[in-house]
Amino acid sequence: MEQPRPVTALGDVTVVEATAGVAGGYCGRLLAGLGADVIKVEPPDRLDVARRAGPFPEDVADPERSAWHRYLHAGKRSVSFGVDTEVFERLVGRADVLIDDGSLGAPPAVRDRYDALLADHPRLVVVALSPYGLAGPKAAWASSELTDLAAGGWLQASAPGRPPLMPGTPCAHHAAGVFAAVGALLALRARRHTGRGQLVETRMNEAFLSMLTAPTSLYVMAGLDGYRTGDGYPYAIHRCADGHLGVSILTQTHWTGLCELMGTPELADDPRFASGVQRADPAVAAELDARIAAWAAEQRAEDVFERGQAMRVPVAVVPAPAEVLTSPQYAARGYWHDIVDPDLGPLRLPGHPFRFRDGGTVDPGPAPHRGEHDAVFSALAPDEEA
Amino acid sequence: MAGALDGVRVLDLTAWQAGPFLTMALADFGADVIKIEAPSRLDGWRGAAGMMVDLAYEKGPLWLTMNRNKRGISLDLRSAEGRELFLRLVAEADVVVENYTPRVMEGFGLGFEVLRAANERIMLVALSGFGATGPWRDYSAFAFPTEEVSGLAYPTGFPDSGPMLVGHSVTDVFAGAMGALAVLGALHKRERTGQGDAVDLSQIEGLTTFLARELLDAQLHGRAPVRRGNRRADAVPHGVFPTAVAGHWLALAVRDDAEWVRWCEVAGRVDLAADPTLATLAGRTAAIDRVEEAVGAWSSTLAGDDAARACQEAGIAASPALKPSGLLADDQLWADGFFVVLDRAIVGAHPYPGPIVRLHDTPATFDRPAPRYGEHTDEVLRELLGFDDAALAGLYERGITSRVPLAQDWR
Repeated sequence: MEQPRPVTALGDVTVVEATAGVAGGYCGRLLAGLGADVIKVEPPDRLDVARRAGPFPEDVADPERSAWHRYLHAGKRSVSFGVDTEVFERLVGRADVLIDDGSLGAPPAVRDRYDALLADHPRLVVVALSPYGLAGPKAAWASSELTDLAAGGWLQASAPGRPPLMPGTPCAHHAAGVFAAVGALLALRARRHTGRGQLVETRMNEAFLSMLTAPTSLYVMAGLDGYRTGDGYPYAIHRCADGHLGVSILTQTHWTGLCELMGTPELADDPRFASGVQRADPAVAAELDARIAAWAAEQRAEDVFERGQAMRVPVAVVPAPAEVLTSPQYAARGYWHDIVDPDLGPLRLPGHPFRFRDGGTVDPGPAPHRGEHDAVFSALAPDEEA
Repeated sequence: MAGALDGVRVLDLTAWQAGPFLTMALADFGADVIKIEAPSRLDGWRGAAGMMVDLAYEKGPLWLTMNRNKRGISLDLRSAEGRELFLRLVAEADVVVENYTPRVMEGFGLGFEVLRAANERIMLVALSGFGATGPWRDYSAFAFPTEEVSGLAYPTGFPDSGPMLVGHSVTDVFAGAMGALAVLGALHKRERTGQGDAVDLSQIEGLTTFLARELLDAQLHGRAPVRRGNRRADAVPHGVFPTAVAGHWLALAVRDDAEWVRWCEVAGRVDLAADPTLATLAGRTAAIDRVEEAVGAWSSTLAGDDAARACQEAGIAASPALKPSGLLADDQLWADGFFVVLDRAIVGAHPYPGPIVRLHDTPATFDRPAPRYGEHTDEVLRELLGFDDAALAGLYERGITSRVPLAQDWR
């Protein structure tokens, strides 16, 4: 039987991305990686975060020379029209999905604009990203990454002697972008049944809280008001001889394996450490932490990682970005998307988060200059395909 | 109105958090998710320590959150008969999701080719820590190791600390959400190809996409990320400040010079507003300790809610750092009913976090709380495979399925 030609998963989907933030841009990037035609709307008064943040060559800010832009907007097309132009309306009229994170207006008033678009284009899916939703007492509140984290419960507790800590990467907003992409595809799926598009919302406060699956249920069912883990046994990062080492003990097998790995198998037989419940006692956990820290200090991270994993103990390296780039696992799987950028030279970009056995994702083409595709779309007559 | 995924059936072999989060996202929108657990090996997320004591395996708050809207069956895939029943279920399903290390499904004799032979339209999503190939394929991982190995942990921390973890097992959720996207992408593709497919999702690969900016900075400038606590270069003050209530904090981000002047007015610090050395970002950065001290002195006199509201009335981004009690009392989260109250046997009625995304016309529905162990074994085998009482009784007798889990404790 003849093999079917690889088909991209979303090769028949057109997306208009009217966003400037991480979540919306990453949402569009995921859809582009699945083969969708993503057209980014970049009016001059609303510059995208990746164009603003860089990094730039020689650290000279230039929205056309941001390396992050080369990743986040790879494979998208770009127009520089405003969202109040006739050509924007035509663009949206041809699209399956519109992603907006404030380009079309601010909550609560923007809801009217969405409703009008949905009325004019009944098959359109509008994915609206907002800090607090489109209605309600905080809908008009100002926000930033930090306050989104606070409102979504991420800063509810702190490591001993510290204030609550925000992540060093905008991981929560990226993940909200994944949620938004899930929402877009759910709505396209629903459209098969209903024949109609709809409004999809990713509200950062709700999305961020959804990412913390434990705290609310632990509070409701166990009375724990403020939860954080990862600063000491059973889950902690320790300094080691050449960097840092993560030691995470979830199961009894992990514990007995760790005792073996540390060269102190007798610890596994110590009745004070026999069960997870006993080891969770704060004094016991502190003692174990000290033992693990003293052992880790003498170890080399990659060596322990390999030896530990061979024994099924999930110890882990804690690589800096440069070390991630040279990790043998990513290379062996052909993860990286290596490009040569005309302005920036060779760049190694992350690949798609997952792969289909028979194809379906793409390594997207270059990221566009702002307005690079203006001519294609401004020439567009109302019903013409681009 | 019908759910977005009505008519989609998912066989869920996953345990712990990443896979169950993936299938939760599908179940909330109408997919028929059938969660399969072996009689002698329960989902560890039911509560690792003391799971078998006093029905603890039925009461785990984390497990109950993650497994709502699913049906639960008990089936031993290691037995020839259980494996054969599973393949008959595959013939009636659209999607199989598993998050074992790659060798496990092969060990069951349930590799993708076997599943495809049972159903050419089946889609398999495998959510392993490191991917189905490569030198680390058999390594094991869960939330914290993937946070570390993917590079996400390195930039997090204070200037005087090493790398720190985010503090919640969020990377499981990130990977699960990517897996949900993979399922939906595969379903979309299947509409055009008519063929099933297998998805290989390496959790670290998914997470590393979130590190793109730092990876590129390393390439352009050879720099490693600097750990800055809650400070950011483009906004001063920017941080988490104490309030009048111990252990409750205020998050505040003053994003430009005009906001700084407005904050000074909110705080009654006209002296600071008039200080030319603080009028610019560069000036406030140079005096950052003094600026933060002033913010802390002000915020310490107020409840977090009141401090945030005062800032917001002046258009400044601020929020109380909500704790669970605050989240469950938050008028914004309740305004449109984010929390969902589910009444579950054994534990009673409790509010749970709602869906991961809002669909206005085909919203998430919450038809059932998390299943009791093996609650739907009989129902599913009757409905999908036509079992009768006698056939079911035989399965229980032979230990292929069980009404109660056999003794086990993860400790």
